[in-house]
Amino acid sequence: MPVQGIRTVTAARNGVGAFILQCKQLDFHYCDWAGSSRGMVAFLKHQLPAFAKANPQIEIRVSPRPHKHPVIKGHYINGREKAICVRNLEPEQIFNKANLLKEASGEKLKRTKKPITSLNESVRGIWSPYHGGFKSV
Amino acid sequence: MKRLQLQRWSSSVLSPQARAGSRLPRRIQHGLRYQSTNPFPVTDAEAEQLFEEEPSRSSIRPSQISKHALPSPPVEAARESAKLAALHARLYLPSRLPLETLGRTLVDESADPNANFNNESLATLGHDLLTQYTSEYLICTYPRLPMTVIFAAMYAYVGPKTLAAMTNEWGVELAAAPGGEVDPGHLQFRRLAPGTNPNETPMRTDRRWEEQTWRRSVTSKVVNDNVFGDPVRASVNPKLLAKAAAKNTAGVSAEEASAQFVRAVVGAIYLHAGRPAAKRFFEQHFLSRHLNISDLFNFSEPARDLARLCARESFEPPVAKVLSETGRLSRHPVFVVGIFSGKDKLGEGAGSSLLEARSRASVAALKAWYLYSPMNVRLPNSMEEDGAAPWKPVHVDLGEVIV
Amino acid sequence: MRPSVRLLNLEVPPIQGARTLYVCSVCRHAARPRPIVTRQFLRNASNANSLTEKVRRKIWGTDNPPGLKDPYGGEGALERRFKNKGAQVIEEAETPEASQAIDAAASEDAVPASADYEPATTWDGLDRVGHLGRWSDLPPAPADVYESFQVPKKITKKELLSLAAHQAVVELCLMHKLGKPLTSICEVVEHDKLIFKMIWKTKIVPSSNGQWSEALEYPNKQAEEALVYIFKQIGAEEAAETVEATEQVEETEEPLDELTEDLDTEQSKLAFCGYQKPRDNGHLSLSLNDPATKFAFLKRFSQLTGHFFPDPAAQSITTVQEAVTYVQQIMKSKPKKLADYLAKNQQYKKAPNVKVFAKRQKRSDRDEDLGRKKLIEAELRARGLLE
Repeated sequence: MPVQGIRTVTAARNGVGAFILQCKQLDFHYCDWAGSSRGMVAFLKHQLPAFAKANPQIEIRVSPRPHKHPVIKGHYINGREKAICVRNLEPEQIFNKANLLKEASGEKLKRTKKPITSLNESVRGIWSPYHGGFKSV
Repeated sequence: MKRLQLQRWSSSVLSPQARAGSRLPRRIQHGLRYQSTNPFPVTDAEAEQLFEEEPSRSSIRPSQISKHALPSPPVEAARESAKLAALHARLYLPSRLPLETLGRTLVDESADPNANFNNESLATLGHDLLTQYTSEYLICTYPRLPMTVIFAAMYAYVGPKTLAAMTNEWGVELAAAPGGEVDPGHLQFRRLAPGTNPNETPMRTDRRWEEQTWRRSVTSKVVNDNVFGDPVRASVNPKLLAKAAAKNTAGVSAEEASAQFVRAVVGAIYLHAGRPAAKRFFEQHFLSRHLNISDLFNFSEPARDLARLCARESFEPPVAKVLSETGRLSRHPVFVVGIFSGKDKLGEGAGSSLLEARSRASVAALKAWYLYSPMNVRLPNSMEEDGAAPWKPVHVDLGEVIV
Repeated sequence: MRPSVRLLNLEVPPIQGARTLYVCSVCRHAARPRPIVTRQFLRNASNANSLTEKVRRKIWGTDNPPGLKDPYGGEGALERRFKNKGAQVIEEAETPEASQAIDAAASEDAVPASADYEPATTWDGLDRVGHLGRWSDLPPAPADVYESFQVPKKITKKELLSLAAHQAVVELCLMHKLGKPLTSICEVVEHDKLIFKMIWKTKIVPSSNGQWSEALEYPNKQAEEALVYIFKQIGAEEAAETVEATEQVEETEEPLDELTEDLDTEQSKLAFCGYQKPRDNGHLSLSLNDPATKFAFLKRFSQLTGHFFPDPAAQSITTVQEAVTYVQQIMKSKPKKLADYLAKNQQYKKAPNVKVFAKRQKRSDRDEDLGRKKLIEAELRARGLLE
């Protein structure tokens, strides 16, 4: 057989076609009794519906967690979780924290040295000593 | 170009009760789908008989039944599930696709054998659509690709591994076991029993003499095998098939279930939102993925292939010439060899020996030939739109050289 | 200090000199017994002037030092006290009776004074304190019964609260008028039905100067007389006389009696004799500026309604109305749970991707969502770990 095919899998390029938000689930935990949940309760009462409407692709689960500080927990497509304790925070601050979790990719935080990565080959190619206008070897 | 008559038979998917008596059960059709040339081995009478044997369950389940008694979540649960709604929005699915159908796409056949509630019919439709769109795209974009590479590219775009990876990337979680109490947003399937080898399932073709691999040619693959060049299951007696389905003891692998889910989603979009939406979905989620087709080639004798190719295309026979070299007598010599056909340089390659450099140059020349891609290609499925411009045939080459 | 035997032995010239240790002469001297000290003790034993006496004389510098001769010996403090008490009682036996009554009370709790007092050597015949047997076997004493000051069940209805306030105000007005101590009204836990009806019929018209004693407006002369008569009785010997008073009222108030007959007998057992509402709300505008009146009112009101007024609340209350509103305020139901609020919220109902749980989500809930729970349970059942 002259030529064989090699089986591979296409690599995802999120955002080239469709963009899949990496945050798939946000858990909002609050306590009915404790004072540290006051801002969280206000956030859940007044701001969460708008937040949920703006982010329909995130599953939002609101559940009490008695005798604990309020927590927002984000579940990501890569299987990781991120939790932020929002005790004693104002509703606006909690909104910012929720936004932070929503925009996160789920990866561990790391310093980005090369901001652009590509799956495609370099257009210029790799330098070779045997090509180009060399005069003599 | 003749349009596919999908809408006609897909109506039976949408309303399961409306299965005409004269038409065969879809299960049998599915079993025979990939055997393109075979006539149906069962007669209508047999099919009717088989139809009677199927466990008859009314399409509307009484609500008194406990959730735990159901094999898959009830239809009403789809509206309650936040997970399902989030998935709907995450995939940018059209609003005409209801949550109930999306929930149905997540129920594998192994979880719920009732065809009214599992995704099998949708997956069959989706598989056909996916393979059609992908093969059109590949053949029209790269008209000279060898058949084996087309198979590999098809596998890369819509193969089960890719679809399983997509399920994962879409954020769909797999349920541990199917059941009525499970959240409808989880992919439900019966898992393989521990210790089962998923590849053990016998892959037999219809033709006994083709079971030996050395007899199977590319032509035989095109004719008999599925879109990925894999042999398909032999046609089994439908009675046995139905019995196996009724017992439903065997599970499926997670990869297979995930692939079925993605196919079912495409099928559901096609049925509910129409062809343009399905095409858009395909372009956005499948074609947008990255695949370097030049990596799919595996040549064994590139120099010989190139010679045959030049003979077929009536070019002058290829000649390899050393373009430059260094350290021929050293430990690390480098030769740069060009392949010339007459005065035209077909390809160039560098290697540590003259033979290696020549074969690299041949590979470069062959890839340059095979990977030709015309500009502004128009796909045949654009003819399905209303008011499309008259079709101009696209150029499709002969394909690979036959040695 | 007892001299060490080992050191004393050293005095004897050692026969086996090499085997014994050498001890210096100073140590040998120190280890020797003191013949002088021994002689002193011997002398003291036969002498009248003990060593302590000599020391005392030396300290005080006189031959006759003050204080006890032997501070560490002699009779104990208790014995001395009993001796004194006995002498006192004998003296007081001749004093007039008036002073005896007071002293008797004082001396009763002490040990009965008598000349032939003998300290007990065993516990037989002594008074017993506490329970040596089983406490639960003892019959109940009258002191064991507990009666709450407040009514056992708190009153929650708005009308009944107003009625209680009305009753308290009328009573306190009468007490004001009669010039009696205001809080003594609390001795009457419940009025007779007839008296209560009279109280109920009495109107409160707040006078301009805010005097409580002039705020009453009786239904008729008879009722005024009866109420004044009854409230005069409230005080020291009340229990016997209220019966008399009610008998008298029954004689005088024949027509009222007939009126009350239509009320059910069952209802009469209810709070406020089955009345549901005060006749008017004039009492609500009375002010509680006078601290004594305020205290009396709050005490009576809390007795009738069962609600307690903490100090900050009692401080801020200035009118009867405020007292009633305060009780109503604390009666309001607890704040609702957030989950209930969210479940009713229309915006949440519209959002399909939001799920609100009323209870904490545990691992088992997630197991059930994934369908894993039934597998776990089945496995536990198979191993007999779950019934």
